[in-house]
Amino acid sequence: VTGSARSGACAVLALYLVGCTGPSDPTERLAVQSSARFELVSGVLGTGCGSLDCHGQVGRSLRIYSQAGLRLDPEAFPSLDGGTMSSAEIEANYQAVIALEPEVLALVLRDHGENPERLTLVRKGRGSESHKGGAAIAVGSTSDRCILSWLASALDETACTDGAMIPQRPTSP
Amino acid sequence: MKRSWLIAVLAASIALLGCRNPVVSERQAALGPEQPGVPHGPLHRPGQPCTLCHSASGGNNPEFSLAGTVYKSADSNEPLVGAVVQVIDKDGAQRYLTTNAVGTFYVTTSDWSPSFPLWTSVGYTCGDTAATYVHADMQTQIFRATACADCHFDPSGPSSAGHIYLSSTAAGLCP
Repeated sequence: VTGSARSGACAVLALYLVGCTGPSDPTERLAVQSSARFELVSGVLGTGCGSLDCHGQVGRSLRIYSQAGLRLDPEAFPSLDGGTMSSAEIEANYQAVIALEPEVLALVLRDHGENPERLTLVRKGRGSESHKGGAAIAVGSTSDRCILSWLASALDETACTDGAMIPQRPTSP
Repeated sequence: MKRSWLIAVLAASIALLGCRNPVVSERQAALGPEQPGVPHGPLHRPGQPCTLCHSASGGNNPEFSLAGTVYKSADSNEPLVGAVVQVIDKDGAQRYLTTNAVGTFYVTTSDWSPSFPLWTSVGYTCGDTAATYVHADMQTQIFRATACADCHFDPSGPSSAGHIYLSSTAAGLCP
């Protein structure tokens, strides 16, 4: 075996070993916002984002279930008449939100909700980043305040309750 | 000269083929053929997602800002003829659109390009007098769909509210 061949084999082995190196601590867990009171946030997301023609579609990475939109139970259908959101739907919405950018979410939690626009969820919702649905959640609106309060682990229940209500029809100009 | 002309035609053909969106094309093909005896026009393909074809991406004129089909009741596929669909956009601008002989209504982009989200309602006058006027508001807003059938298709299920109707039963529409 020539020296150059040995060197090449060593280089390949080194690259292989480096490529297989995983996280320094595979048991590391990210601390993100709790799901304990997510039901109120889920309501806001359902109204502002979860219509059937937007994030209430199964093909979305941010897939939002809501009473008047996409349903998880195959026997359920979209309607505001009777019926409620199931705990499974709320949990699915929570998983959809935290799975988007868990590392950034953990940083926002660590910083007590500071600089929430680090999150694509907030940027897209506010329309500050290209978003087909535009500014679905305007800066300073009840929906915006609800989401920001959840991110800061200081849930504004009033803002969430108001933000979950379907907006009134505009009057003629 | 003849050769350059041939190349130009070939290039144009490739360009046109390249512009077709395969996802849209597949969805259009899935709609199936025209109903026998119904020509292209306002009466064809009721209940289908009109703007899948009648849009910039769909490639067919006229382009619609909003279009859909209204049925008499939840338990019937009988079209509601002469219903008035009110559409209000986020700025408060509104239009009243009347359903035709197959229950279909539409507005073209050249007539109106509303700002989303939209709110809609359907009204219908039973008989010749206004004595019995039936009215229903759509509960939620329309955020981006331009074809009602994108969300309102049969059968109703987890991702569809079913077709648009005014009464839960046909008998109950105009008692």
